[in-house]
Amino acid sequence: MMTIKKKNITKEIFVYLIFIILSAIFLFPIYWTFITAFKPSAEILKYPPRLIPATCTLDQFNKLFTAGNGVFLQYIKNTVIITIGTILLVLFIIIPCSFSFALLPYKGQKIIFILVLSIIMVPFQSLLVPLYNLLTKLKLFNTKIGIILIYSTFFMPFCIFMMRNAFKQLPKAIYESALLDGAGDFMIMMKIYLPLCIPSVVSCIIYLFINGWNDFILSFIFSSSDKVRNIQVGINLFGKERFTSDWGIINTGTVIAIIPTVILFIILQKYYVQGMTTGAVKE
Amino acid sequence: MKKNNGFLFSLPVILLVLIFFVYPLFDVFRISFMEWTVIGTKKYIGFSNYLKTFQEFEFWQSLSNTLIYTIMVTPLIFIPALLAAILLKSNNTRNSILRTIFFIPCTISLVASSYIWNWLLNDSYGIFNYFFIKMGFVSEGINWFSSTWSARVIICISVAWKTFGFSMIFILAGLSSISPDIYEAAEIDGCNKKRAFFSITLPLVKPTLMLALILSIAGSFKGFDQFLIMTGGGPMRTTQPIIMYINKVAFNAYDMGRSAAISVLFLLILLFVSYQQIRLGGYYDDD
Amino acid sequence: MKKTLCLIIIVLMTFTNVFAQGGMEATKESKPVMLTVWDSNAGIEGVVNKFNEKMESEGRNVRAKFELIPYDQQVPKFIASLNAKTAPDIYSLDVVQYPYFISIGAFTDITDVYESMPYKNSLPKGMLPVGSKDGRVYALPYELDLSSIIYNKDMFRDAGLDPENPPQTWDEFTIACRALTKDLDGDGVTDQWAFAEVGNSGGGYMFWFMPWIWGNNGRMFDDSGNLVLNSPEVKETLQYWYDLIYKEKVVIKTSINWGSGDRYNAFVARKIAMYLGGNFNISSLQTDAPDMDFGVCLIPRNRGQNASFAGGNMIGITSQSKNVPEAKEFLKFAFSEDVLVETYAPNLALVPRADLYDNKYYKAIPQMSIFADILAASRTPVSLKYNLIYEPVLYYFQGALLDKIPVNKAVEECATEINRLIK
Repeated sequence: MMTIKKKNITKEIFVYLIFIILSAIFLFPIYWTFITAFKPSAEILKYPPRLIPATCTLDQFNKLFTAGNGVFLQYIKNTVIITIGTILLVLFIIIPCSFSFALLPYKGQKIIFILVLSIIMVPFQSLLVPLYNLLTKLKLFNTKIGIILIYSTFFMPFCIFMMRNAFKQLPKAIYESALLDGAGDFMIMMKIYLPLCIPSVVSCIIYLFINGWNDFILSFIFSSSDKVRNIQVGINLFGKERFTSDWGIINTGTVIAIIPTVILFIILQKYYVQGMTTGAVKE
Repeated sequence: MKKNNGFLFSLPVILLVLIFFVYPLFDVFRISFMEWTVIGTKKYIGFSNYLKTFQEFEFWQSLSNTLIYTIMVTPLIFIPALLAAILLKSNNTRNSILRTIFFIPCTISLVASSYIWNWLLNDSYGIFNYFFIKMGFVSEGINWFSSTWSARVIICISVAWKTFGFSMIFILAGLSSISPDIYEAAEIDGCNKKRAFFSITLPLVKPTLMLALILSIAGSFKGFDQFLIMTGGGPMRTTQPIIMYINKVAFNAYDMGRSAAISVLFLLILLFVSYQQIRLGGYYDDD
Repeated sequence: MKKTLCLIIIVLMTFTNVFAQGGMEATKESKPVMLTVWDSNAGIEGVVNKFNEKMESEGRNVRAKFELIPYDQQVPKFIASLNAKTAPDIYSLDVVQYPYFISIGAFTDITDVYESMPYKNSLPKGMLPVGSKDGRVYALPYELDLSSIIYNKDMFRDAGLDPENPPQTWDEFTIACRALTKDLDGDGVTDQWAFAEVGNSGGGYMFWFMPWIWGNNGRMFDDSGNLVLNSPEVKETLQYWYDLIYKEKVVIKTSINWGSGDRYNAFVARKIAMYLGGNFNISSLQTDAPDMDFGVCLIPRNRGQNASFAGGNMIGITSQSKNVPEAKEFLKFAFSEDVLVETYAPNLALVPRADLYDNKYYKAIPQMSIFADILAASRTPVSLKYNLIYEPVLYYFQGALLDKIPVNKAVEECATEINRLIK
């Protein structure tokens, strides 16, 4: 008996070691980003490269947060507001829309479906010039709400299809029996369907957060002042010139991108994978 | 008959789509038939832009580069994502940690990821080559970006590394809506795990997989940043994707009209590809 | 009745007073003017701040606002803003874009500003034609980028070369390269390369390879604008670069796929002894390689004179500006001595006036002294379709250096392709 147990333990340890090594290799680029963000400038381009930095400083962060008279804090604030605003707006408008794609057909719905699908098929660069003109005409240029609307338009297709799938996967019997009980569509959606599809909602939130937090091109084109610029634009402005790049600043920016997203993911993980549909269809 | 709430429910989305998508898209469509200088000549020239595009070798080259890239990168993203989702779908600590690990690369932008890989892989000062030399695999640094196919493979690996975590989450969300009761019932009926996977899991998760596939392919078609940063479209335009070509025509050759035409063609091609996928995959079925 | 009337009159008077205050103030000074200034170079922010200080001290309601446009976004954002009729008042962008934008009428005639400058002969002569059309001036050179060679003086010493006498001809260059290419650990593999060539961008070939062609008496265009690329001198230059890689083996072959950032990184990592850089590298090198003794020198010549590419930004007033007189005043201010020297020179950026090169900031950094010579030797080609030229140049020249196309054929086909595109 004892030998079998020992064999199992050694096997466990072996498996764990493999995991750790593979994870280390997998996450190596991320590790590299982190240590570069904490190295002094003179060390960053040294060759041969050092795996464990000789000195650890907050130089790069300092550079970033003091650049432009500390405007980077403003950029962080803008990004937070715009990202949260986008998440709220998108969830608010797409949940009913996905519900209708799944369960409430109407004439011409197929056309709308194709239109929404087309949004992910058109590269932003093609629409750049007309959108710029449109925002200017609507007086939404260089406004947070303007950017939120643009983000929402471009990020919502994924969420619409995600939620549509989620709603459609539930047995239609749920909807029909709720109707028989006298509930209205809105109530059915909010009180029955939505709670059963939390993992998909969480996917949407994560998707929206990553895209809003990391976006550069949309924020850059449609902003012209510090009241609207976001983190990535700031990093680009401070860290990149035509022929040279400040790797310290760029990697610092990446670190700033990673940390909140991972925290959000860890917090939301528990909503992911439970069998949420248990007991839903028990007649 | 109860009143049709479907339209009302979709109204905000419809408005957004019409204002911020259809209207600019219509503009693009209109410009594609013109010779269009931003302040200057603006005249209609019919299908000239389209014809000229079909005659340009660079168009076909960019299109085939994009197709090759998409064909290479999609399984590289999908298969690990599917495997990871299935293996990690139960809720325990080990799975949580692994899911987080796989997710972390998704949190950085594609631009950042491309810069990092470019730096790590540089033949002269990059750390990967340093290790290879130190461990005796090679005698001098390999330039991964100097030959077409190795550049393509490296770009695919770096993009797959960065994006598969999100596909994994996507598939996980789809898997999670499958009630465990179904598996219980199947087990009672004597179904083993492998059979359960193919007969129960796969069919139920098919809509999710289809959607993930469509989105992944659309995303790969639109690939741009990774090529700009890692190879600049080279060597000799062999890794230049179609978006880079659109940009070049618009902002290097200043030919907005022709760039609009290429964009329209791009949209049509992608719609066609997606339509085929939907048709073959039976995605949009009206119950 | 009387009381209410009085009350109404008092209220009316208060209100009109409140508005009249504003109204009176508005008529006392001129209406407020906000100049939008775009630049891909962050340096101009100092100029904007100084301008605002000056306006404030003079009690005038004119201000300038700066927006940084990264290099890659210069053209897209400009086209978008022109289309929306919200173009900035002043734009400082890459010199090579001007012929096109001037030709479509995007910039205002500023010949009067140019003529009024007493120092106009100190401006880089090679760049002026690019900003002019039919004898009128639409843009002036402002923030300069000059291509040059940057070399590691420590490595020169180790190789037995004189660090104060860098190679100035192709022959000297070849000899220096041989000495600087070393196998440091005796394993049969070169660890230190003498030189890295350009590269994976068309602009890079124009900026860094053309001066080699000019130094060999070759040209891309003749004075009438005809393409004269297909010449023995050009072929000879490309052949020289090819030989440095494959015959002399002193150039690291993979650099043909590198970007300018990769060359810089490799230089800082001490993998290469010399590379093609410019003035914009100097302050970065001081931060990234503080213990390296480096020097700057002209690109070597062969049959002709040492040359450099005068690039960088030119500055102009867009045709959509509604504040042209104030914009012209800003321009004159931006070119004045104090402003230029105090804003740009401390960061070792090159000012466009050769008469100001003798300033204390440049004098303090030994590597800066050569740039006056480099400026004098520099040129800028003029073409309406600059960006179109980059494409064939990149394709064919890179192809030749990658040993995929024979050198002579590459030059000939490149010329054919350029002719086809600029028709």
